[in-house]
Amino acid sequence: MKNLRLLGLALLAVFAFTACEDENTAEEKEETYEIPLTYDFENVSYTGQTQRLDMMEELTAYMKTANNGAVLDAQVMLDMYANENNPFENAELNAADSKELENKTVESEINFYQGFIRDFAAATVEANGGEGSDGTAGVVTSNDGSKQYFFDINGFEHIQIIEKGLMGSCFYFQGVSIYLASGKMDVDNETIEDGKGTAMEHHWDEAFGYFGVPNDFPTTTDGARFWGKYANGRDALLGSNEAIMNAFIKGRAAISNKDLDTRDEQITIIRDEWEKVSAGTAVHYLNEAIAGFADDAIRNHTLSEAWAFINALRYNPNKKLSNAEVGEVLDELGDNFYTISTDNINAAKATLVEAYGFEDIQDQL
Amino acid sequence: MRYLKFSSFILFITFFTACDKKTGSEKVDFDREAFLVNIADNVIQPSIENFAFNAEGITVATNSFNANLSIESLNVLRSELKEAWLSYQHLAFVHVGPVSSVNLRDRVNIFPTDAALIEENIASQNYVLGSAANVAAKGFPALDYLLFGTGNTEEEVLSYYADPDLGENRLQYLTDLVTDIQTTSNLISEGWPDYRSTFVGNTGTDVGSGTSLLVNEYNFQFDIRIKNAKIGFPSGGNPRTGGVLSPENVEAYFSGWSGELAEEAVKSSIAVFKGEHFDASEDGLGLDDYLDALDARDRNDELLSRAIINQSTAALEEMEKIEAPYSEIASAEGSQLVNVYNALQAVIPLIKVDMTSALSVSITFQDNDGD
Repeated sequence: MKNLRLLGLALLAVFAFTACEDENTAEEKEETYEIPLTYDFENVSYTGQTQRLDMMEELTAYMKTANNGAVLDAQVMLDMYANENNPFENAELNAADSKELENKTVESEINFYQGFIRDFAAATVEANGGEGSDGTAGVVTSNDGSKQYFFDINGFEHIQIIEKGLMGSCFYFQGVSIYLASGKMDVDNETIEDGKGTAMEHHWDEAFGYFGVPNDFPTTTDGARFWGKYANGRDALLGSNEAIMNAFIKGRAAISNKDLDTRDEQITIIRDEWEKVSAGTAVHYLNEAIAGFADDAIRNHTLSEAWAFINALRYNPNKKLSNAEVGEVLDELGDNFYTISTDNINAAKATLVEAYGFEDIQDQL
Repeated sequence: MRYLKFSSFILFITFFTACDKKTGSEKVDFDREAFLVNIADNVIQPSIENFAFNAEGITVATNSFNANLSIESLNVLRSELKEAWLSYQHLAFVHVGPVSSVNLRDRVNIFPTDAALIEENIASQNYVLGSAANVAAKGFPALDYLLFGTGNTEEEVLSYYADPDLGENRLQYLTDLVTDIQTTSNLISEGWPDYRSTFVGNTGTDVGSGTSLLVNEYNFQFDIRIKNAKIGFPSGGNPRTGGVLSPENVEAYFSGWSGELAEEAVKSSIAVFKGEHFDASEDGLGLDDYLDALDARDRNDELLSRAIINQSTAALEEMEKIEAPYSEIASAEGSQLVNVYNALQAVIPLIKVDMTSALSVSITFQDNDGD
């Protein structure tokens, strides 16, 4: 009887060690697959995202001619926004007719951007190269004469609201809210399409594409665009370059190895860090606005940047501020940058600093 | 001797409880044909019959309403509409064969309905209901408008049809909509017997097999039509809305039946998943049994079938907390509808990734808007 028990125990021990390893934790799993140092995987493709960044670049270049007094054509900008009527110099972009900025913008904001583009063109016609001031749209030169920007009658810089605004309402929204969310993540991860990987892998790559960095970022920072550039700009204080990049790399490796718990952890990291970049950049521009408060050109320009980076904060599923709270921060900035007070700017800044825990770095950002 | 028996018992256990995650579905002891037969004969067939019965009910009630405009006939028609709309929620999950080829979902339940287009059609009397241009001007949501949205009271709705100029056209449009539903129902009822053998005979799991179709449609209905359309878009819970609320986009906006219809849809989802007989008298072979035969587990190593049922039930419980029509609930930010959305969302990875992976079925529909 005693022997029998012993044997039973021994067998049970064997059983325990040969049983399925399902209960491995995520940490243990990690060691079973390789995580590369750069975003270098088989079957990676995000040309659509790169093309949209290229489109934004051409649109911005065209818009910026207004800073030198050019009169803009609304149709040209609307065509670039919607990729219609071959508006781009880069023929590849015209040919990619299913790729557009417009249909990837938060749906409820498409009208806003179209309207703002029209207002911009109309303002440049009205101004016809003339000087801007409170109540008059036009070009405003900084006190030292080194910078000039085109503002609307309330000191909002159309170019920043459109370019940085779309960075939020299109690139960031697509990156964190669409491609890293259920609609694009809860998909097939079995069938591999040559050059694209599985549907899940492909969607992950597309999210990465919206971040706009070279695949060995941040070792290489040259070629970082839009969000990549701003992440790099605040990296010394936020440390988000490496955090975001590592999460993208690790998540991609996890997907290929069916380790969805690790994937989900990386999604949280990417969303949080990317949001921090937007909030940190907003605080940065608010600081610049305070520093350059007496200079209409500098103040209005930096406030317009800040406005767009604050507005972007709505588009993160894990956002720290509710939409209503984001609205309140924007309300602090009011609707006329020529008449804004430093109190207003500081109030907006204080809300962001508290929500994102920037207390220690709030004045360095 | 006992000694030997016991040890071989242990060995037996060890052998059979060892990791079988990689077991190919072909090795699994599950009778896929019996499963498909159960779904065909005890789930789909009676759902079709029930839908046909209710389509007939609306037709009869519409005829009476036409013959005698009264509050009573209006109310009969309204309640027949509700029954039919509820019975549709069950069939929407089994969008295979003739149900799919008549495109039932797009044909009878595109919402929000386009009231302006309906009025335009009525005024012009020039419309082809089958044309793509009119998908948002027909079906249950259009009837919802015609029977509830055309007046604030029953009397006002009646006077809409008694109007000396347009009354006749309006009644005609109403009749045409109901006829279209009846025709759709007939096509399904007639088509099903022929299709049944194809469905149960295609026992593989490749694209086009009964299992693959069922799993795909199940996902589509749950993910796109329930989670997104009924809840996610109106409440702003779906990320694509950027958090913007649109209460007017709920199902059954005018009658306020949104909650009942959505709950019925989720209940149906659970029943279909379990393979419950339509009359709920018996729990036959369903996707749950299939997953259990594969010993499919979720990420917490719980039985996947259990996780799917529990999570779907949790969503249903969230829904049951809501008393008012969804259009009223949706108007508040941070509303209970977002909780419902999140609860439904928690089902999606289980059914769309884990279940499809366990069953070796590919999701072939695209919730995609390009690269």
